[in-house]
Amino acid sequence: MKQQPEDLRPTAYLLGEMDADEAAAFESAAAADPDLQAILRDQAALHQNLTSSLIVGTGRLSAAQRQAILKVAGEADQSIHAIPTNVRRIRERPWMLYAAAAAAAVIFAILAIPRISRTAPAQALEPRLKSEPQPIVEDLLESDPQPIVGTHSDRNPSAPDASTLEDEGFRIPALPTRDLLTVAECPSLQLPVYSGKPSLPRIMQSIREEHCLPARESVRLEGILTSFSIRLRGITAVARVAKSSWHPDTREAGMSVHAATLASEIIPCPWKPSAKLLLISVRGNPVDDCEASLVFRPDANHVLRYRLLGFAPGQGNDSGTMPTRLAAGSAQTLAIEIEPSTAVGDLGSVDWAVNGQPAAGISVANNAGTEPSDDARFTALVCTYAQWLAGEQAGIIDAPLLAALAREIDAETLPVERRDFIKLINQSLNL
Amino acid sequence: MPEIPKKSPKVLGGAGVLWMHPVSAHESPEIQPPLHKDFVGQAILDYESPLIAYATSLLRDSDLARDAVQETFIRLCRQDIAKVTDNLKSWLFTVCRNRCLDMLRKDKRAQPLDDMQWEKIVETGLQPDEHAQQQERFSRLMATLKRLPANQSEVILLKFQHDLSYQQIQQITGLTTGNIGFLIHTGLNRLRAILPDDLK
Repeated sequence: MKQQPEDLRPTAYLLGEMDADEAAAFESAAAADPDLQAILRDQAALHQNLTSSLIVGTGRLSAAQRQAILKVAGEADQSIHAIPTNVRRIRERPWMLYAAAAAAAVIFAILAIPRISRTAPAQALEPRLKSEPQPIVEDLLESDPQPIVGTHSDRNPSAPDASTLEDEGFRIPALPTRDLLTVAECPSLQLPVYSGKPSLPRIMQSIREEHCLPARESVRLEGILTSFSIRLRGITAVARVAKSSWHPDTREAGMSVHAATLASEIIPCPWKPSAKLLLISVRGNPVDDCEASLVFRPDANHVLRYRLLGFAPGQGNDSGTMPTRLAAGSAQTLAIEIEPSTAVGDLGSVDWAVNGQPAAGISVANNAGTEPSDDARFTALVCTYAQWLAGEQAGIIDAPLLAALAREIDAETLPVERRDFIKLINQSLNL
Repeated sequence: MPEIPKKSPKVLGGAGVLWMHPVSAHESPEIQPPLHKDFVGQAILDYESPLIAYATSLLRDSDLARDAVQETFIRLCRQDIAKVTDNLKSWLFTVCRNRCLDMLRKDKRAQPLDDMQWEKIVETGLQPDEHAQQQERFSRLMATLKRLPANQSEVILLKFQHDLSYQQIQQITGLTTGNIGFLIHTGLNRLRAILPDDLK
């Protein structure tokens, strides 16, 4: 069987546009014709190629366009439902009203009378019902019929309560972008120890209630990170300070007490493969506030440039006087993007002092082969999201990259707050 | 021989999901008519991206495409839901296409440009580097499709990008199914001839 140039049957057959009889007849003809089989194979490959390559875009209407559409839809509903249909039906059939009233009376009699006759007070049950936990998990994963198993709260207990924002007269300060610093111009950088206002509740409110991305100046990375409890897996140092109130008669256990813990981890920078992301977490002791002073000293032989993410009180190397107050039991996470000049070698060190007493610093090793911890990966996601929201590194950090990172981290075993955060990212990407 | 393809099922409006919950016998649909807001909201979720991609292929401008899609959904708000729910996809594509053609007629500046602003590839669970490769492949394929006559590239996109049947394409374009089959067939033959080897 020779295929003519105008023979449309192979195309129609492959596209499923033949009915059963036509398809059967065509198959019979093709079974006896090797040339036609070759044509079919050739066309099928092209069809498969087109189907897999011509994927629908991710184009989205703007939030304003959606709102305009839904407004019109709402107006259409109002015009249709000016007189509710069920009311019209009752007017048409008034006997239904009486029947409904009778049914309600019967139901009330069945349910209410036995309860009233009991001796136990009705209000005894009420407080227990009111104190039942809210279905947080159900709200978090609407599509998940089963509650999350094994998840736990990840909320940073030291994070300020969002409800205090307004009380404290929260104002969004200007957010100048801190530039990348060269080691030559800035051989050391004092790091801020201040968790800042929690930025996350405001971002959630904007995305979930107002259905728009938050104002860029309201996105503060440090204010998002402070909402999560981050435990890093790299080099850790503990600072101990002399206990000033020690006396032999008090039988204290030792001469010094734990003041603060400094942990670090360095991972590949997700938005810049040639760079590293240094994560630093400083955690205070659970009893007393302390003053923690941190300084990052990049190694000039191995570091080209670096940039502290978030915390943008100034530009360039204008660091000013950094806050040092570390509240009891609080923790703070910092992130520094580092562009190494060499593939190996230490990238520098973090020196620190607590209550004026120097503590053992930590070195920043460029350990390329180490698998990042889950907390470090999540922190990197937070950094990516915050920069995407703030429009920083716009040419590098885009929606597909953010989506890919979020998908990579998402897992059913994540703590509730982290899954909720990933859900927030998804909602942000769909605005 | 390739596996026998199944006849494309009739595409029902995805938005119907919202108001197609099982209705008990004593619960007449008249009592709780579907809300336009819910229906249109679901339709936006289901068809916003495909329509923008389609409109972009016609207008060659993603911003204009969004305007056309917005107007399409506003038209949907004013429709009787019951009349469009069974063929919602075709209806939306038809209205969107008409709107795009109106815009092209009114604004000559929107005529095809040399550098098209194609919509980005949808996220499909790819790694960032795979995503970049797919996006490049998509752009090159679209650039090759642009070399076909407009009616051929349009029906090929409707078929392969939006998975519409000949009958649905007929409703959208007004062409006969025979003509659609011919355009797709000849368009594919032409495409095979001009596609770079690594895209075949």
